[in-house]
Order: sequence, then structure tokens, then C-alpha cells
Amino acid sequence: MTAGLVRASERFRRPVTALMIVSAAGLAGAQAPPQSMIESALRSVRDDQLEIKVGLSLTQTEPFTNWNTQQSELTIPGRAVNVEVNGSNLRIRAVFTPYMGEDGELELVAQGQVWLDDGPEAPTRYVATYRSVPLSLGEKLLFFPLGVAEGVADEVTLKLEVEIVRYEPERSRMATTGR
Amino acid sequence: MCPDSALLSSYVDNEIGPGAARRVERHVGECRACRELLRTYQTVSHTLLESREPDVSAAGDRIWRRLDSVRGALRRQASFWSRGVRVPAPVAVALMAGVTLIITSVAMWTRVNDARLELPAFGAAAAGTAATGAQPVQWLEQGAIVIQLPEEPQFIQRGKPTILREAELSAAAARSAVLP
Repeated sequence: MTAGLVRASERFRRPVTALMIVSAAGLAGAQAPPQSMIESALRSVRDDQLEIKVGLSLTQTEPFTNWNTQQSELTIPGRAVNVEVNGSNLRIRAVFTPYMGEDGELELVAQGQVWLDDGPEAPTRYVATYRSVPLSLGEKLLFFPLGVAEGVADEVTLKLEVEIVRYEPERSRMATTGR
Repeated sequence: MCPDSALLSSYVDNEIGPGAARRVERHVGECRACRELLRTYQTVSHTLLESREPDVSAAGDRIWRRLDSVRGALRRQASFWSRGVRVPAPVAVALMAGVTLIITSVAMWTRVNDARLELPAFGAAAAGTAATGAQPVQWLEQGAIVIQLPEEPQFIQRGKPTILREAELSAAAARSAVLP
């Protein structure tokens, strides 16, 4: 008799157990949608954004010329920012790739290539440089594609200034609206 | 000659034919020993027929009381979570299908809402606009700054292209090399 009651109890419990398993499986499927995972990763990318400010200055002593421009680009650690400068007989391509170490230290890998036409008779000159520099946020990195030639008469100095700061949308918005 | 005791016993129980019964009666009338034996048999038979069956109702009550107590103890031992529910199979299947449908609907609704979730645009965040999830992917594929210099100056390579930190500038200027 006792054994019969236990068997009956188990028999009636089976549908409820199956119901609970189906519900648990359904909940598990609902809690891990791939779309949410992707957007969570995108949020993480957004939070690590860096702003690379690139300023280019061209100075000439004879005749005196001072020409400046500044642009900025948002990036994330590990994503390169390409800078292309085109002049009359010059083409510069610089690639800046910031990396963020585990200790929060920034490492900037900078690569510069210069193509220069010395005239119709001469072949195109090509020079390149590469450097990996530990850099603090807000510290400036300078790139002289034509060399550092201060003090030379009628010199034309071309200088790229690169500054990396953490991107703050609120600050940028205030700067844009002028508040 | 006396009949054997089995025949006498059968006579008492009316199990023999009328001819044999008459012969037994004739003999018993003449034989005192057989008459005594027959009387003994009749007394035993009468006693057995007259005796009543024993009363077992009290024992039955005791057994049912015992079973009720066992059943009650089993009911008390079963906790809420281990208690069985008597549900017909079609109802159970319909219930499971309903719950599965509800869960699937909730999951689909969550996904649709996730897809509608707006992220601040990467490039356009400063302007206060918003973008959907597709824009950051486009943004990752871009990333070039193009600067067009004035056409006037003709550039001359003065030295090696140099990359240095701002703090290193003065030292680098001193040892700048001029290309041949």
C-alpha cells in the first residue's frame, strides 16, 4: 500500500517537472540574445573612446607664412588613425595607433611615410620612419616629415602635432555649442 | 459383523444410500457397541453444526484504524514542493504549451526592444545626435584625416623624418641630421 502511494505521487509529479524544465529552457534562451551581447560590446567600445587631435603647422621664413589646421578623430585602443597630407610636391601618410596597457599607460605607435618630388628630372624621394612611444594622455607627439631643420634660412617647417585625450562627449558637445 | 467406523460416520452425515442405511440401522438396533459409537458421532456432528463463527469485526476495525494512521503519516510527511498534483495529461500538455508560448513571446519582445535600443553615435555624439547599432561598425571602417596643404611652397627634405615627444624637441633639434 505504502509503495503504491509513493508510485502514484511520482506519476503525478512528472508533468510538473517537465513543465519546469521547459520553462527553464525557455528562460535560458531568452536571457542570452546575441543582439544584446553585441550591443553590450559596442557600449564597451564607446566607453574606451580616445580622441586623437592632429594639428598641422606650416611655417616659412621667406616669405613669412604661418599656416595651421587642426582636426580630430575618434578611435579606440588598437584602431589606427590615418593622416594624409597632400601638398604641391609632397605627400605624407602617417598612421597613429594608440594602445592602452593593462596599467592604463598609453603607448602610441606612430608610422610616417613621405613621398617628395624634387623636380621632373629627379626620381620621387621616399623616406619613412616608425616609432613606438609611451605617451601620457594630453601629452603631444611631434612628427616632422621633412626633418627638424630649425634655424636654416628660408626654411619650410612642416610639423604634425598629435595629442591623445580621453573622449568626453559632454565636453565635446559644450565645445560645439560654444557654452 | 459390525460395520467399520467410516460407514457409521457416513451414515451420520447422510452420505450413504437407503439400502446401506437400512442395514446400518438394523445392526445398530442389535449391537450395543455400534449404537454407542453412532451416538458419539451424532453428538460431534451436532456440536459442529451448532457452533457459531468467531467474531472478527473488532480485529477488522483495528486493522482499518492502523491503515488510516499510516495514510495520515504519509500525508503529513509530504512537503509542499514534493506534493504531487493530479492533472489530466491533455491539460498538462496544454499548460506546458501555453507557458512555452508566453516565454517565447517575452523573449521575442525583448529582442525587438534591444534592436530598437539607441546608442549615442560615435562620430556624431558631440552634436547630440543618436545612432543605431549599425553606425559604430561603419565608423570602425573609417578613420582617416586628409589635409590639403596650400599650393605655394615647394617642399625640400631638410632632414630625416622625425617622430618625438614634445619634451624631446630641443635635444632633437640640436642633433638633427641633414640628408645627403
